[in-house]
Amino acid sequence: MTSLNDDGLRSLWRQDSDALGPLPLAEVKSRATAFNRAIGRRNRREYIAVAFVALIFGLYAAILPGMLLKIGSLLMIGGGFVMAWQLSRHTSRPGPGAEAADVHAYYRAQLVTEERMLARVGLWYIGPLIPGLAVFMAGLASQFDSTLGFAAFTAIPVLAILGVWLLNRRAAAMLREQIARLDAATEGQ
Amino acid sequence: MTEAEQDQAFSDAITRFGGAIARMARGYEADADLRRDLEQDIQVALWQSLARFDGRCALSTWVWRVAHNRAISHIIARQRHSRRRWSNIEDIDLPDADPTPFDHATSDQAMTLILSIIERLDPPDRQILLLYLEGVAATETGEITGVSPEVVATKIHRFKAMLTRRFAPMGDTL
Repeated sequence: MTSLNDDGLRSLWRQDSDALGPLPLAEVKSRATAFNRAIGRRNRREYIAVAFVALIFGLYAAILPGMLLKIGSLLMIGGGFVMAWQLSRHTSRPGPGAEAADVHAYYRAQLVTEERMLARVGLWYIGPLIPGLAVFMAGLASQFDSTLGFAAFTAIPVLAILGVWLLNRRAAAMLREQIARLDAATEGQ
Repeated sequence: MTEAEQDQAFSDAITRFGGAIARMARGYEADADLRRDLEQDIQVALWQSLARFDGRCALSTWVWRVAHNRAISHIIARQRHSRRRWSNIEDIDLPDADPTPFDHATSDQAMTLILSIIERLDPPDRQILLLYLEGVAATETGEITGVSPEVVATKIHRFKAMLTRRFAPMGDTL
């Protein structure tokens, strides 16, 4: 084994490393185009999901009795559209030019984007669905004989939403720790 | 830059830095299949980015930035699933173990230790060490990473001190 100096470490680092499997240029270009198509595909999936929600709640609005259920269904459709629009805005990847920035700037920007997305998940992901869900649930209240039964039924979506919100808040807090550590290291220079 | 120039710059970059990109990928992804995907992602990112390369920095600086930044996006996405925590190099403690003279350690032992340190690091520190192992000068490393050459030197010193404690307790110098 070589000695533990710069050359020794670098020699060790280079030995037994796999060679890069170079992609043919045509394949590189094809994947670069496919990447843009993938964003389109991802957005299409979101639109299909929203269309499904719109179809279901559109049917509810047409066939369910009671004004609250109809209004709640229409609000759910509206909320679904707002959520899909926000999702496509928040999850877009940085362009190729952004990746030529220095790693501190790039990494910090990535963390900040991710932190904002997670910390505000209540506003852009959950929030748009709340009015429709609340009105819809209020419309369902008359279907229950007991208050306890309705409370138990309501608890399921409320707990699910609360869980999503808390998990995302926790993840955002972890990212804030990473950003603070990065900033502290930069200030220490 | 015309597309023909972009293609030529890409071919030059892969010829010059292909091996180094493959080694760098080891520092970001342990799984062989995912590492292959990362290497291919980097090549696509590099070709795309070269359309904006205007020669204001060296080609090597540009290539390293794009490669490391794409790798960072990769590990951030992976972190969402694994919730793995990273640290500054100053906060990493190696578990106590009997030190082994470097001359007697196998290459596998040494590489395992080096990779175990690297994979626990925050991306900026990880990038500094990977560039050091590739033999990139501290000044260029500072330009690539956005930190001063003094910070680069401090991080590398800490890394080598960690290796020394494990492998060269009898005074092998770095």
